[in-house]
Amino acid sequence: MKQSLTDKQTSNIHLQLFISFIKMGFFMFGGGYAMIPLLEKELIERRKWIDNDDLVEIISFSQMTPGTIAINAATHIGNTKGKVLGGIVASLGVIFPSLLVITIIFYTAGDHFDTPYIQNAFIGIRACLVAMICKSVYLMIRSANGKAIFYAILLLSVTGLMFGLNPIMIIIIGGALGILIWGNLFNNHKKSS
Amino acid sequence: MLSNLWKLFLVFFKIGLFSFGGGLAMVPLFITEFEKHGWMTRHEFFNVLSLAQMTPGAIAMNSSTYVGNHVAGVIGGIIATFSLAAPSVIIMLFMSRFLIKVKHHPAKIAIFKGLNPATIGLIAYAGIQIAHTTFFKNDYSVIHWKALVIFAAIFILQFMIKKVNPIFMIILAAGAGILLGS
Repeated sequence: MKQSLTDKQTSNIHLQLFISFIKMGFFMFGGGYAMIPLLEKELIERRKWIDNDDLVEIISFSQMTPGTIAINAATHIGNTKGKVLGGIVASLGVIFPSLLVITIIFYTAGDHFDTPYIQNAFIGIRACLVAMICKSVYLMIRSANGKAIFYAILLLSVTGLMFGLNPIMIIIIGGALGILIWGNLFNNHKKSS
Repeated sequence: MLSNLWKLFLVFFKIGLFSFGGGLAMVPLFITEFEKHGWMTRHEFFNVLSLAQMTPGAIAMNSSTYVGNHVAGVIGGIIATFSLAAPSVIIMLFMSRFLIKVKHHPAKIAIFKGLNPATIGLIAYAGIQIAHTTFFKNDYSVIHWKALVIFAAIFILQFMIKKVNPIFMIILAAGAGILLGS
């Protein structure tokens, strides 16, 4: 009896993961980072599976592994919540909208898809995306609650990218600075921050 | 037919395995492989890419579904998309297990303290890039006022209504884009 209850709960989390990621997949326009506002709403606010710091962690982690950010994030969140099967169903959820929508377009409109209507709608979506990313960045900075050194690394990252530095390079430099500054490699004092 | 499917699997699995840094980083790999196999010229692929950006879902996934369909029909689309995702899923499952295991390790905490602002920088920069192509033409001579107005409206809306749903805002912005015309 108890066994069947836990079975039911685990299959429930897998179903929730699948549905959440399908939903996000359908509204994910314009690349991996566009997923962040959707992840905030669905995973932080609605499901309460992760918090803002977890989200930043997931994104930096997704950047370090091969493949698209959306799939990496889905696999990691799915695995955290529902083990290996959770990772797989979450990724399938992200893939499903692409498969469905693109296959339908391929056999109907083909690449004559960009009618003026679609183009105008897309301008609106992109403008919305910029506004949503602004808020995401604000929420992430607020949640990190960092000191001056935090803002220094943030500024370094943006400046580096503007001068054409590779995002993977930015991630490596960030991690190395983390170890140097907070790793207590050179002193044995116990510091909490 | 069967050899085409096998080729699709190999090519997309390889691209999925060797591309770091998200979907757009895959574009050069896509072009090289597609031209090598005679599946698509780079100009045809640029059209696919703009379609992939305007449709929901990850850009790389959308492109793969399209090209897979183009090469070998519906089954081709499914195989290409799954093959592109497979390496990420497999590698990420191992990495994820590792990350959960070291969650409270001091070295991991130190590394992620540095990664946190660096990653927020990446996200901010992605926003700057989208803003750049949405609001201006290359030389800043043309400003897209319509896009700026929609941006301002959504920006204010999301700070006024705390729990506003991003899906609602996307639909709203798309509708505003159509209504305001070009």
